[in-house]
Amino acid sequence: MLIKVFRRAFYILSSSKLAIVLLTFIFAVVTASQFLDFLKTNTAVKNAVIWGAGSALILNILLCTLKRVKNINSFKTFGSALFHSGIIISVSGFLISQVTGFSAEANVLVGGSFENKQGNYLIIHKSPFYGMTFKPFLIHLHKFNSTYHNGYTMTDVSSKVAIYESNKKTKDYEIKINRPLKYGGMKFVYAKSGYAPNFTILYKDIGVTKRGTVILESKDAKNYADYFRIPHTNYRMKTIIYPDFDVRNGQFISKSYNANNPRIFLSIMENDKPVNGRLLGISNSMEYNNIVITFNNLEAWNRFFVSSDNGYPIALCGFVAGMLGLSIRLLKEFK
Amino acid sequence: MTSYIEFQSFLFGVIFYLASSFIFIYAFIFQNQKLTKTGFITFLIAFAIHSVLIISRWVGSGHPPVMRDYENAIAGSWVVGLFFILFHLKAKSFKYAGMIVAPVILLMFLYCIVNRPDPEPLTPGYKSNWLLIHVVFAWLSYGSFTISFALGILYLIKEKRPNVNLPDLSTLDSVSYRFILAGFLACTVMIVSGSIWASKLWGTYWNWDPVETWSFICWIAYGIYIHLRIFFGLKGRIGAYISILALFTILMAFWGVNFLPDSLHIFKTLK
Repeated sequence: MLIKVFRRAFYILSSSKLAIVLLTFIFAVVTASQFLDFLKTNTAVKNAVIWGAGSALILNILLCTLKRVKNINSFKTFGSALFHSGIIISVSGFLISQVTGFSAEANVLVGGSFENKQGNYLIIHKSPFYGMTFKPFLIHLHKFNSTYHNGYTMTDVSSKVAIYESNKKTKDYEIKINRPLKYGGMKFVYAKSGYAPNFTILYKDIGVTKRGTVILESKDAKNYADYFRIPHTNYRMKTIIYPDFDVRNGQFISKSYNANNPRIFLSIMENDKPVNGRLLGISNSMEYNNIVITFNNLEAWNRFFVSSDNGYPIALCGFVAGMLGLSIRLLKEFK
Repeated sequence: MTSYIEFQSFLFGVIFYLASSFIFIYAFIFQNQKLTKTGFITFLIAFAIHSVLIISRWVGSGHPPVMRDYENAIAGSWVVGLFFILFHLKAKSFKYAGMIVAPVILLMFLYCIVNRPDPEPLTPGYKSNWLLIHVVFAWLSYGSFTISFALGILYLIKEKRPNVNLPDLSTLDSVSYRFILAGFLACTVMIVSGSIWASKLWGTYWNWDPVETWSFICWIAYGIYIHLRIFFGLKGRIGAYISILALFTILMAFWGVNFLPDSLHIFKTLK
């Protein structure tokens, strides 16, 4: 009885009809997600449906391929079986990456260092095994260069880094776009760059001085604004950065992305209302309510997208096998 | 600035493809065999001018025409033209496919009139060995699917008017299917190579970016057709309709970025 049920389930789950139903379902949901606001905004619903149907499809392909292996009697059927096996191997590779890996962001100041430690990353996705295989090393970002065509279109980017393990340099590398650093089972991809203002804040009341660099988010690469809270106060500071300051038609602008003539515009906000504001050059200060803020300089920074990707070789093998299978199938069809 | 040769070849390309389209359509309507030869010769001239356009763009920008819509449109339509010429030389009975292929190329040219940027150097995102594999297979895939689209239309015409001078229905159907298979293979290579490239460029294999999503939809659509054909013997009119309708997914993948501003496939600026 149990064997009968098992056979029946195997027959249904491995049927080509189910494959077509699932393919059509995925096709409909993905297409609808491009037009319907409900699916655009509810990504969780969309992902659940796609992953659910996708998993069922992978199971179907697996069982269907197993069934096919028994009946390989020509190059045509061999090609099909190899193609579908390739899909399964590739998906397995991606699953291994998902289950054992993680993805995160790391901000590094030019001239500064970043330690490969769990708490230092801004996590995007992490598996249950996150941090288990961390190798202790430190990345020092020596130099960052970027070149532009007509002042706007970026034509090249290079971040020169050195890796240290136990204070001993183990590797020099130049991270570029399309040329990530692979080290210690991790991949560091260039994601973003910008300037961060370095401030000194003097709290006159308590006689304490703090110094630090604040990495701000930017949307416009040339001059950008963001808020941050002044430590130990209820004030927020709106900061607009002009790396290459100029005034045109009475408006503050930045001529280029290079920090040739840096200025920042600081507004102190109390309850989201500006209470004081000033344009500051290097070493200029502004004071409000016994707090003195000095703009020291602009520091360049890089953001790297970091991921660990253990299943990549398996996924690549799957792709090669799949392509070989599809080519064999195609050649037989053309004959 | 766009070079003088590029501008002239673009202009004459439009004129000759337009002429070829008219001649092919006229020859088909009036079933004039001799005129199809003239249509094909006009097409060959347009194709030669098209080749000059690509070379001048390549020389002007210093890189193969792979950047943004304009360059992909002129290069992709060139592949469609090449497929048609090779196909025509191999099987002359398919000559009337020109009445669909020539207007399709013409439409791509007309689209380029409003979207013809000056040549620019490759932005860092494009500087990858995977670029050529990804883009060439995209052209091959879209070229194959466009030919199957043309054959799908010819199939429907032949079915409605059996007396017109076209290959028989089964030949049209099986040739269209072969183009779909070839396009499917190229589409798979395009998606996977793009995915590997994305992992080096953005750090992730798949982002559900609109272009990625539409390429995936396109792959699934043709995958469904192939499965229906293999397992359920789907042939004929429904197959022709699918090959025609599925072209919509390609159009969305190709031009989708213009209407979907969140796409990562706009490499113009980097963060």
